[in-house]
Amino acid sequence: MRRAAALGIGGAAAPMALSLAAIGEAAAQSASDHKALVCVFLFGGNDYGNTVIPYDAAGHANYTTLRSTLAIARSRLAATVLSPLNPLSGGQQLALAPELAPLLPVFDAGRLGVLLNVGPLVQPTTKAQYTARSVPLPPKLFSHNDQQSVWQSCLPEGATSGWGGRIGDLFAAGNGNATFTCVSVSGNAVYLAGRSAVQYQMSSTGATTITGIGGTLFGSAAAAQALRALSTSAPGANLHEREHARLVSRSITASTDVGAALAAAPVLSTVFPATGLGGQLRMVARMLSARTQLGARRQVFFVSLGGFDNHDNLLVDHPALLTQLAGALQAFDAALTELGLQTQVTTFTASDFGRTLTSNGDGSDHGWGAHHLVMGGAVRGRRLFGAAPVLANNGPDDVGQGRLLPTTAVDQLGATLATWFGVSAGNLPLVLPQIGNYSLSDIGLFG
Amino acid sequence: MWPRAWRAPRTGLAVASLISLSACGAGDAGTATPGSGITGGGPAEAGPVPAGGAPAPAPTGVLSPGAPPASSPAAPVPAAVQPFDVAAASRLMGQASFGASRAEITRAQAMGASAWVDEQLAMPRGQGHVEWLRAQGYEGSAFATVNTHANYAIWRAFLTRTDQLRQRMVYALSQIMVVAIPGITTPWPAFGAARFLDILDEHAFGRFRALLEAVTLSPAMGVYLSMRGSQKADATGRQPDENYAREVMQLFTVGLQQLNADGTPRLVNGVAVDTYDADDVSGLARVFTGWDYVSGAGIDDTTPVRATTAMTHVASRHETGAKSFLGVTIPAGTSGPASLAIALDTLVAHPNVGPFISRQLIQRLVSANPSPAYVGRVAAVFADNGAGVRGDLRAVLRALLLDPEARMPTSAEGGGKLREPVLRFAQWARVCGVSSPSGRWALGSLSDPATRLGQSPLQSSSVFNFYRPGYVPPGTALASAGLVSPEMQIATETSVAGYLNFMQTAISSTTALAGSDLRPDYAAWLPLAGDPVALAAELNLVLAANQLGAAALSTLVSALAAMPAGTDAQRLNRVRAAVLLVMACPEYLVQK
Repeated sequence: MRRAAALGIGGAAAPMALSLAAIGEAAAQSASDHKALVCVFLFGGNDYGNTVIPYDAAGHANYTTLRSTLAIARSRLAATVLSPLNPLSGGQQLALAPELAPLLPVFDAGRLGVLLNVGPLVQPTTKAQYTARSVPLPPKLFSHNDQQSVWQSCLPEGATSGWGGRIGDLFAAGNGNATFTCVSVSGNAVYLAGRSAVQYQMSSTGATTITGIGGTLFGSAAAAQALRALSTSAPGANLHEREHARLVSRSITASTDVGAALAAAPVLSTVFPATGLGGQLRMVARMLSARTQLGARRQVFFVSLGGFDNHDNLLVDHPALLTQLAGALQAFDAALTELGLQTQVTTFTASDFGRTLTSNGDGSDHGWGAHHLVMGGAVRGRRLFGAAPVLANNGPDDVGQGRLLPTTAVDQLGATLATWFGVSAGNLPLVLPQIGNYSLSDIGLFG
Repeated sequence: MWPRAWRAPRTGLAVASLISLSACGAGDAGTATPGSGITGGGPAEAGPVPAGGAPAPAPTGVLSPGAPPASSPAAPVPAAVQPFDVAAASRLMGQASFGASRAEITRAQAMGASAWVDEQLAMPRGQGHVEWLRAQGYEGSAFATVNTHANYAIWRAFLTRTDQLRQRMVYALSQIMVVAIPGITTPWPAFGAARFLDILDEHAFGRFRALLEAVTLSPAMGVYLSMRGSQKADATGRQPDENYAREVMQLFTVGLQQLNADGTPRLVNGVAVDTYDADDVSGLARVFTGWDYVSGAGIDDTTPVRATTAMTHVASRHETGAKSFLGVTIPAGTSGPASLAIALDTLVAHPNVGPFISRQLIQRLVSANPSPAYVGRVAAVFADNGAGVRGDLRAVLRALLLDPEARMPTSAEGGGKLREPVLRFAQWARVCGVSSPSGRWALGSLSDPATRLGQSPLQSSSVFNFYRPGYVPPGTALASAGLVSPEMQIATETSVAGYLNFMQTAISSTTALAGSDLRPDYAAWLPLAGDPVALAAELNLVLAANQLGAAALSTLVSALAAMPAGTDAQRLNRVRAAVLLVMACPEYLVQK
């Protein structure tokens, strides 16, 4: 793939066997405080090898050998060496990519953790089991749209709901306005689709209002009224028509609500970088500042940055992307401090997959497990989570060319985040149906 | 994901009746009068378009002489004779063109569907994209790193070329073999994109195998999916780039799962079967090594030559060991070009290709949820055009458009498809006499969902196109019914508002639109402005193939009747309002 952005899922939809909507209703949870979960999706498959890099001399030498032309010189990493509270054994050290330097103070302040080698699995899987294909594996490994779907849904391919949306299912009824439970500032993402909860998709500039329905249209109030009436009604049996009419209705109602709420909310003074991701996270911060006006107690947000499919030109393109990521996350961290919401908002990165460690000349190819970031005042920051993989070409922790076999499943990450969010143990399988395959459903991200 | 039951289409025509409409309009506003003054009425039509009139008495049969070849392996199911009235002709224009004027609709109706399609299939190609860029003077050195003009070239072709079916096929193919202008990083990127479009244009009615090879070796695809510059493995651990190998299988030819001949998944013990695995990708990636821009004496970037010439092979960079994929092994020592030929032959011969490509073409032109039988009939023509030729896209397109399932209006709950924003905008431009006085058609990307269309040709955010063929809108009645609606993937709370706002701006544009000099001309409709019923009926026919029902027409007519029409400016506003209101109706937005 070349560039990437918000993609939904492909394939057929298998209707859920259970009446999960009904279960969701029975399981509905309420909350009195406010919490939010923010997914930062890096479309295209982030190159883990140049995101979190071995720094100790032996580790870096091994990394350089494996990556050849793609390796970042050790001298460039000195300023971003991590000093975690739980150092790795045997003197192993890790550094963030130089472009992630703005996040080092956040790490050192204990609001950022690094999650090592996480990725989609069906159940815990060893290299031997992978090689023998003796356990079920996620479908269509290494394929962009399929692995985006698997990461976001934690369900087999063709899923029409994501674990963010299923968390939303549980809390939507407890929000004053259910519309703003699952909010994407980055287009359509299966992550935010619930079994009943519907994702609300806004832009970095807020909600777009249909100008023609207010006041007059081409000088006519009657025409303006007709525009509203016609665009929101589908009297026929055609389901495409009905869904489009519903969508326009939702757009009209939500734009009114968002417009009023943002106007009444405190002004945000934190300055965000003028980048795509910066703009998206700024809008999330503004929505958080308007949480009272929006009647929201539990919210799941989705933002994204595309372009990570660096088959080519990796040494130029990837650092620019990480610069954008770091700048936006740093500003979001500052905004949460300004809003006094540090302990109530947790942000995490996700991506299609990791990439190969080996080079294809000037880039890397599709992989599997990858390292990710978890940020927020509630996070037990300044720590590494999960197991540091042995970097190799067909070593114990990779399935060839440095494609990591995940040692932490996305289900486990999701369950940990969901539990912090307030999902009860009994409801966890509704959010992550495969979580029962793991003995550990909480990987200790939170105190 | 398939319609539960393929329903027989209704035999009558649409719902609304002018009589009740007139009554409605008159009752509400008191100004409506029976329609009159419609110009250009066709031979089968007299006076106002009967939104709900009786079927035309003398249908032009869709299965008239020249319909799918008698030797076609899968003969179409016999269809009830469907009247090819003016609404049916308008409906065909919606599927097979970017929009047609009343005059063209009338002409097509007189010809009959198959004759009109055949005329289009035989029409010479209009001016190509590279040629047009040159004629516009974009070969000056100031444009060596600019890609914007590729957008202009596309709009020019889609909006003005008379070989409209070819243009729709180009657009459909551009959504299967995807490149996006921002990712075309060749020298002279506008020319790289233009050459790619010319390839789709040249092969739109040609052979799939030739199309695939030309796409594979195009500089635009070469950089977009990074096959250009990919080299054999070496001692440093460098591996061939797998990007193109993976996507050419997943998206351009065979897809992920084995298919039956009718496009349904082939199940073994109830489980779908993967078409290929990671080893096939690695094996095929070894084939695609050694290709690069054309080079040689006098070839440099002072002209667009490297962006417009097929990539050439550098033998020293090619993997010369054996290459295995999809059950084929290319022996060691086979040259790069010979290996490529074997690989492309292998891909095109795969039984998935016919149903995989046919179904997506149907989705782009006709319906989101074609019946397996329909896919099967078209795929059979893909497999054999009747003369033993595989992948004859002309025959495929003919079978696709003249199939009974394409020609008969649908009343199935999942029938038809949501018109893409690009199709709506292009139709408006063609139907509303839009011109570019400068001839530059200087419209850039319309991708911004908040302020423009949320979609623009060759501007998808990835090789996975704007939407997936199997996209199911979550939590909807469509999902419950097991139906897909690909275009709904880019319909969001933001984009539906952005579309209406942009169209309002476009419709009322008098001097400039989004940085261009595009402007509409409503002269043809102004004479109807004094007659809301006639105006509504005419726009319903031309834009919506008479799909607007009685309720929508009643609302429309009432609103128009409430608008003053005493001055030219007021009449112009009535026309503008009528156009926007029709284009806001779900019954317009879904092409059935």
